[in-house]
Amino acid sequence: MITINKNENLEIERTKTGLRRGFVQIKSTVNFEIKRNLKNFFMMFIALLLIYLMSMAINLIQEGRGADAPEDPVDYIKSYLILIDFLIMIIATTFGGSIIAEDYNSHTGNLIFPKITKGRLFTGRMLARYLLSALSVIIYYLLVGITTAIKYNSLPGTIWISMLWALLYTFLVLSFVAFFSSFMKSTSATVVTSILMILMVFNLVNSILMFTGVTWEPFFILTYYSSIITESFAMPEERYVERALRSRTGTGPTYMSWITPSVTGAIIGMLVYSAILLGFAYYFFRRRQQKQG
Amino acid sequence: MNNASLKNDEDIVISLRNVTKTFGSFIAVNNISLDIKKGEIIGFLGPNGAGKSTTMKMIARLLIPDDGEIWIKGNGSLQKLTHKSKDYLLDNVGFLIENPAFYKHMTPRQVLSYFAELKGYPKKLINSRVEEVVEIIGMSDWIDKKLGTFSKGMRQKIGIVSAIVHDPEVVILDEPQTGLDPKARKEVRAFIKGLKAKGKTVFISSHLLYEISELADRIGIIYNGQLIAFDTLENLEKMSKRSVLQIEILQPYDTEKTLVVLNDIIGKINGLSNLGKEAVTYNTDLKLFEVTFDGSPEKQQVIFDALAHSGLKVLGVSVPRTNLLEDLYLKYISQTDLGFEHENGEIEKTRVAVSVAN
Repeated sequence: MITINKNENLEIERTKTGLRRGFVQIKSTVNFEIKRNLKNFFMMFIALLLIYLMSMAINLIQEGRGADAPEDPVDYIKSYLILIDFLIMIIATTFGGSIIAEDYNSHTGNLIFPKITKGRLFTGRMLARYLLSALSVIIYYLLVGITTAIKYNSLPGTIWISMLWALLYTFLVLSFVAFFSSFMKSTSATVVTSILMILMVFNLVNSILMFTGVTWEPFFILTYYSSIITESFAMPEERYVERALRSRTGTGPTYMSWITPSVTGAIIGMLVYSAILLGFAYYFFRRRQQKQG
Repeated sequence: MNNASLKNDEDIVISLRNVTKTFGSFIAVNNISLDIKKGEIIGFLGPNGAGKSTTMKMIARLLIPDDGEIWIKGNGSLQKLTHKSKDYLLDNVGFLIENPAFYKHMTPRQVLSYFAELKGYPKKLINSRVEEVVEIIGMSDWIDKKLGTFSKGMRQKIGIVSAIVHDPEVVILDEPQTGLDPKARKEVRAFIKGLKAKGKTVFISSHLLYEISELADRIGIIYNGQLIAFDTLENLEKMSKRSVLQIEILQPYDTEKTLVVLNDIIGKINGLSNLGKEAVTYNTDLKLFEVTFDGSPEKQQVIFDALAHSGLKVLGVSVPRTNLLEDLYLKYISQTDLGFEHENGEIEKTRVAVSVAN
């Protein structure tokens, strides 16, 4: 026999609406999303452990073959950060690919959207996924830091500066993936497109600009910001180099290659870039409607 | 529709006013108006693609109407559903839209607790409430299992309780019995009746006519995006029964001439000419004459008298058996297909075919 509500005489007093409800909903979403993405997090932990072990193995092999270990611990740290932008891309696509697209692709939106505004849902999800992404980056830096400290009996403080840049760059890449997720049909399409854009399109555009002789700093090239993660250990005096193209008749025209953004440029650039991407992502998410079932 | 007129009927909890939704050139919902009153079960019937889900999605604000307004009761009065009021007004409404899809790595306890929290259910009561609603559907043993391992029917049940976990006053269920076996359907039926017994309002769509006829206080039939009938089952049946007369005329007869005669004598009856282009038509399959009239018993008597004095060899006049909702449903839909519309474009809801024996 079915009975409804044992607490028959209980007067339900709901959490207040408005701002307080908004906070409760965002907090609940963060908690829920963290639980929901724990499996991804463990997989990511294994992946970054593998990258760390691979980097360590390369260092050990080189030393085993007679090469001297770097005298400066910074150089040793840098050897682990060769793939950091790639790692961040993997982290961001793992946690960000499904952030919006999934609810439309798998129709989970039919359950969730009537219960929370898209703005709060998006905020909660971004926070949760950024926390997990940031934690993954921090774990990697901790592994590198511990290894360096054991090997050199000291740890340069600049590693933490580098980590902060990595965390900011992670936010930027996550925003970029969220932007694609807001209008792509599925999670996998979002992941593939984001990776293609980061690995190929941005580099291609950068190369085209360089060779056409453009001299302005490529703030709109997302991948440009990743360079400060390693360059921050010792910022170069000149942030660009001029190179000459070789030609059959001798030296060809010169072009400008930017090495890294400045500290101020990187902070403002990444924040503005993220804000624009998140703004568009939210706009598309809010306007996006479930297809007729 | 102004605010004051909506406030007049205190029983109304949801009101749709001339709501229209299009997808490109396709009109999914066409100018629907209906009121849902507190404590009643409204059944929404229609074939696939008729506009049931679209209507419900508009109430849930998953889709935004292109035209018209939706009003929902909040704080004692009906208020217009907008982006701003959505959060607050939909607190008292629970939704199950289409086949529920869940995050498969999560458990019912996690998902339902999250939903209850989002809707402002008191945090200290959430766990007991979740256990309670899961117990209602007999799935207590599954409360901590991953949803990815559930069958379609089990997910459907969890979907149904997800609509009521925050204890809303109005529950909107879109095809809740899809994918359920007969035993589970019976359980869900009892569950919905239990909601009504608690004073909850239920708006349920289905293409399972039996389920609707068993549950609904009033039934809306939607077809091609239009609400072509909306009344109690009793009234719909009553209207249908009174309207349908089958008249058999002794053969052989000249169909064309008989039609002229019937239209001449019956078409003159006041009121019939408004209802269709021809008051009398011939059904070639049944070999019966069909007359359009407004369904009133008085008019029916006038038709009998006219037939008795027509000189036609009338063998019999009968009323088709339309007791079942299925007959009504098909009848209303077929009438719409035949395009019996008033000049202003409204569908004539009480038009019933009358077949006359020759």
